[in-house]
Amino acid sequence: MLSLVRLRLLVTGFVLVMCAPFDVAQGAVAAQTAGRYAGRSLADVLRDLESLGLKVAFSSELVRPEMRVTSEPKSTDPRQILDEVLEPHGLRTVAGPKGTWLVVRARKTATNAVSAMAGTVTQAPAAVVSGQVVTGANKAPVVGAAIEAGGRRAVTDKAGRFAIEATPGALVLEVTAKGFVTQRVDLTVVAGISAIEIALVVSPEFRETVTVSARGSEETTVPSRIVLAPVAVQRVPGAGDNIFRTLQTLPGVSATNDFTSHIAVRGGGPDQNLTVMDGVEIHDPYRLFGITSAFNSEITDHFELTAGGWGAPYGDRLSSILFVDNRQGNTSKSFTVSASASLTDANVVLEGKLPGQASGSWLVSGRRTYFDFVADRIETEQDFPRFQDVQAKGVWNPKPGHRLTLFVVRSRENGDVEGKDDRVPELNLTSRMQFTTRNDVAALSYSAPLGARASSRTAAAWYRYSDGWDLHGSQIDERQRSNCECDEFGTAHGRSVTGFTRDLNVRDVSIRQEFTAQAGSRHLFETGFDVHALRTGWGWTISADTTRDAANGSATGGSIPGDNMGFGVGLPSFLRSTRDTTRAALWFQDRYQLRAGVRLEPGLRIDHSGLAGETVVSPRLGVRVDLTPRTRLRGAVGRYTQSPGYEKLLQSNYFVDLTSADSRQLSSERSLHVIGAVEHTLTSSVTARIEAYSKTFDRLIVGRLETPEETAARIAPYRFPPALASSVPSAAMITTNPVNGATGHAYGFDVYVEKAPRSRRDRLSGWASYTWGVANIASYGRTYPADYDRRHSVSMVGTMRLSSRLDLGATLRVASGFPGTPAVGIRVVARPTADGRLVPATDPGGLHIWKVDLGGASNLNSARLPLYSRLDMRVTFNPKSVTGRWQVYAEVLNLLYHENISALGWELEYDPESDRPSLVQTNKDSGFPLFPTFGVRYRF
Amino acid sequence: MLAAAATVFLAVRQRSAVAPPAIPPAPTPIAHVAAAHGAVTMEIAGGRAAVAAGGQTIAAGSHIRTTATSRATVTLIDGAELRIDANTSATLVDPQTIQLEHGAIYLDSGGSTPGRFTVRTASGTVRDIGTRFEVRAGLLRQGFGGQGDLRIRVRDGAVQLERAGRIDRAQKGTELVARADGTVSTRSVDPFAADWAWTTAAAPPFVVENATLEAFLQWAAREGGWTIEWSDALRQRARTTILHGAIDGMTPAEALDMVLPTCGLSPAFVNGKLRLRPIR
Repeated sequence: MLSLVRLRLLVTGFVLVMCAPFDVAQGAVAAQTAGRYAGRSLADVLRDLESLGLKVAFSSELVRPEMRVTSEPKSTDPRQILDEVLEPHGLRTVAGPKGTWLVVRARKTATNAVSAMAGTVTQAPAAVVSGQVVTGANKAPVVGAAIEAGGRRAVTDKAGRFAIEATPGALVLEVTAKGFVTQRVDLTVVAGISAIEIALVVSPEFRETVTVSARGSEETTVPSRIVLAPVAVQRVPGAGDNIFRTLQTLPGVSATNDFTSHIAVRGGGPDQNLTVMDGVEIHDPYRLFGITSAFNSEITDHFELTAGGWGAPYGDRLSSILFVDNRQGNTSKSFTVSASASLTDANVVLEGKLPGQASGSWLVSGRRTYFDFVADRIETEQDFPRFQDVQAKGVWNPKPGHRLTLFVVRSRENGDVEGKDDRVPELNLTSRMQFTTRNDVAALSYSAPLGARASSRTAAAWYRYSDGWDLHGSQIDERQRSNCECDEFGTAHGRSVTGFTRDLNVRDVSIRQEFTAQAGSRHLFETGFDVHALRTGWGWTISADTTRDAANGSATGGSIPGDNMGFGVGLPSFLRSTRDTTRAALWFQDRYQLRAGVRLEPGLRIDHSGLAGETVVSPRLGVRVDLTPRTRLRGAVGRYTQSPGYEKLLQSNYFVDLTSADSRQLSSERSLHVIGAVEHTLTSSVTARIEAYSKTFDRLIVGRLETPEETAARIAPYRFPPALASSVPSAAMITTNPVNGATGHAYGFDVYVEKAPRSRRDRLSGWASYTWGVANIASYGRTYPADYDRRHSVSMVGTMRLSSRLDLGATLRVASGFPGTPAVGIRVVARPTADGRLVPATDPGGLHIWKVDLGGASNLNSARLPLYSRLDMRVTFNPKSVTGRWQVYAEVLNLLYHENISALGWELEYDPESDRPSLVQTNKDSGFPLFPTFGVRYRF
Repeated sequence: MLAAAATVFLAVRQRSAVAPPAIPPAPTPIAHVAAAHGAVTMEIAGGRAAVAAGGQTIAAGSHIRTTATSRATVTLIDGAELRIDANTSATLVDPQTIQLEHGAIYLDSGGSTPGRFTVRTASGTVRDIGTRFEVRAGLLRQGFGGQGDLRIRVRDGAVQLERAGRIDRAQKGTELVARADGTVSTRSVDPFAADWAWTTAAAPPFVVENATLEAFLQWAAREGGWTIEWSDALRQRARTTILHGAIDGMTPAEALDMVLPTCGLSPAFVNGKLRLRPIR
């Protein structure tokens, strides 16, 4: 017992001894701070507070010698005393480096005004934005990068990390580092915001003084995501400053052909890709039939492609999302101008900060083709295809954390050209194409903080697309001929007569509301909704049947690989179809930091389609695990849906009539994505990624096969003799009546290696990828390769710095061919008679005219196009002028002059040993020839 | 003959006399240590080794050696500053000559007469032409050169490199690399690049307390490599604004971030120019 008492005494004594200095110290502070500040010089009081352990920095500019402490502080804590004595003088503190409190002017905010009136001390709600600045995808830290935001500045440490204080709400971080392109990062700041990662792009000589930017990204779980800075797009040989042609060099992304910019992602069709520019869904992201894109890389902030497995905030597409965010105008100068010219167009960008004291910027760009200036003077009777667009963006920050953005696009394309088939001049065969296309966008968005831990963004947009086409004329059709040994073009060959007009309209008025809220240190909740009010109308007349020879009856003569670009026989000759409909979505997502290095993103999306009359629930989950600082695992699984709509058919190769009786039974298409990826940083500049994916599809919308009654009705007008019975297309054809009649499965893997330049000394940069993939579709009673099933694909993009002024770049693509539909034989062309019958067509000598027979649904995609291979090379010269603002490049497309076949081609030849011509495969429809081009940029 | 005999006599007499204890004359100082960060070893001429401390004088022939974690600044007798990076070995041969064995030094000739300084290395001799420049020899740093290579970066003025009968001149904003195989290459280097950061780390800290804003800005601009865009009003204001605080261990940019807000200003850097904007 005695020992226990002694022990207690010892413990009590120890505690008393340990507490004594603390009590004494507290007492001393209380004594020092009690009743001794009022009336004294403010500067002296600040120095006194330093003696109590505070580190304070101030100057006589703000803390003037005549300033006195007006009243005795109520607090006894030195830190609070500091705020109390400063506040009456319009001063406050902000956290500075190394634990120093900086005495600065108080913000003139409503909060402060109210606080001052109430006699209390309140600071604007503060958050700290922290993160890491790295080089490209290689994650090498950038040391000494300067981050500026809201009047504050920070510099990255040896690990590339930084922290900067910010007011909740919208914020722009400007990141500058020697040797890198200056970047702006748009953020919505909430208290407890997750660390962000900012990837800088090494600056080529020319771009050094130009402000473009790539978005900082939170460390996402999404596996199949690649972010491209505009400067990367501008450097890829063969891309022509066109984002889509750059995307075509990435793993799993294929060009549907050389001429259009359409992309197929992991076997999916172009209509399955969603394009979002500045938060607005863009239904026509191309210009001039896809030769170039709607996006001007000179004013783009960043491009971001996600090839699957994305989160709940976006949906209504099955395959991919492309985000295009335009940058803000220059905020450091009142007015700047830049200009550039590429193969297809020239553009001018005007920009500057808002006038007066207003915080914000403006930017206006104008872009148009220029070759038509020259061509119109040579061919004065032609209006060569051209486009011109104007884009404008204004950003106003009415108060810290709040941002109002207005974004406007006006684009026009038109052309009126006439061609002549002069192989038989006396026939005077001519064709004329007239077209007009309009794309207009107006979008207004407002971002604001909701307290210290939440934020809101509201966006309203109006989008209008319309086009008008008129194609008419006639030409010799080598796919038709008689077996006449005569003047073949004048007599033996048939003539295809084209008569086609089209009017399409899509008007999309939408509103999107997003909320973000931080809950504790581990959860970031995102929720929101969007509503689209769509008014769509399709109309056409097809007055000539002779070109209707596509294998798929619902084909619209688009860019179907391996097909012959003809109209499908299932297309109605006259169409006027309008659908006004609404679609809406609601989503919820949690970004959950399970523990260090493990992040989950569960989400739920609910889509409602007014056209399908259904509501679909899509659960999604993303996972990211940082195995080591250099190795990351990413995975995603989720359901993705795509509702039927005419706005999607703008990019489709097939047409289905959404006002037909069958369309009332339609449901949304569905897909289940399962994706896993391993990403490893090999060296500070080399990153490798292996990713496997599986996408199963069901309820895919296709045109249904004719019923026996419909087939019988279609062939009823045929009056062919029994010997020509096989020429009557009696097999059931694919119609334009839509059904959820197909399923599919796309799976494969890709390997991606990127060498990013760590500095401008690095001579080599670029990326290489290999993709193995399978994409099958099951419909019409068979399983066959989907249109964009590409088994093997290799692409390499590289830039070698030969000297300080000279770069050599190359893009190499080698890929196995897409599927194609082969000819199954020939058949006699049907000629309509005045009384509505279809009789065998004959030439002037009475011989039957034959045409290529591509068969029906059972023959779709049963062959393959040959290997695709293309090498594009570019030499870029950066003249060392006083300003260093010139850049000139010359490039050659398809340098090896490989004839790339974009469609299986067939012709008929005279056969002296038969009563009918022979079928010869010619594959004349090819891709780019060897083609030299150039580009110039200049900034002033 | 008599004269010769007298001379021999005097000589013998002189040598046979009892000499007083030898007291070597104190070596004439040619510099002093302005700052020593970490363990900087100095071998004073004559063989004594010591850990350098601020204020310590340095005689001609003294050898200075820094470790991987130490840096130093030496103020030469005419006011020029010699800053010594980590992992450096150098000898102050005389007030105008530095022998650099390996590592890097940065010479700020300040107000001294242009053309006075010479830096000798195994790969050549560098002469200043009124300047601030860095010489790095026997490079060990990743990403640059090998043994026998020499790199010169000129922040201000100009220097010339003499070796093997050849003279190469480097102007302000130029990096010149002379390789062991005899090749010489140049490229541009910004005076405000992060590559100069070590020179500030080696320097004595600027004492903000009671300094004027003008003095602070001049220090920050010189250390950071920026040019200040002064206006008359700003300069007048800077002359009369007295600062309070400490910036020990900060880079010039960090120091600006700390000091300027307390003066109602914020820094902006545009193409090497430091602009001061009022905070609204």
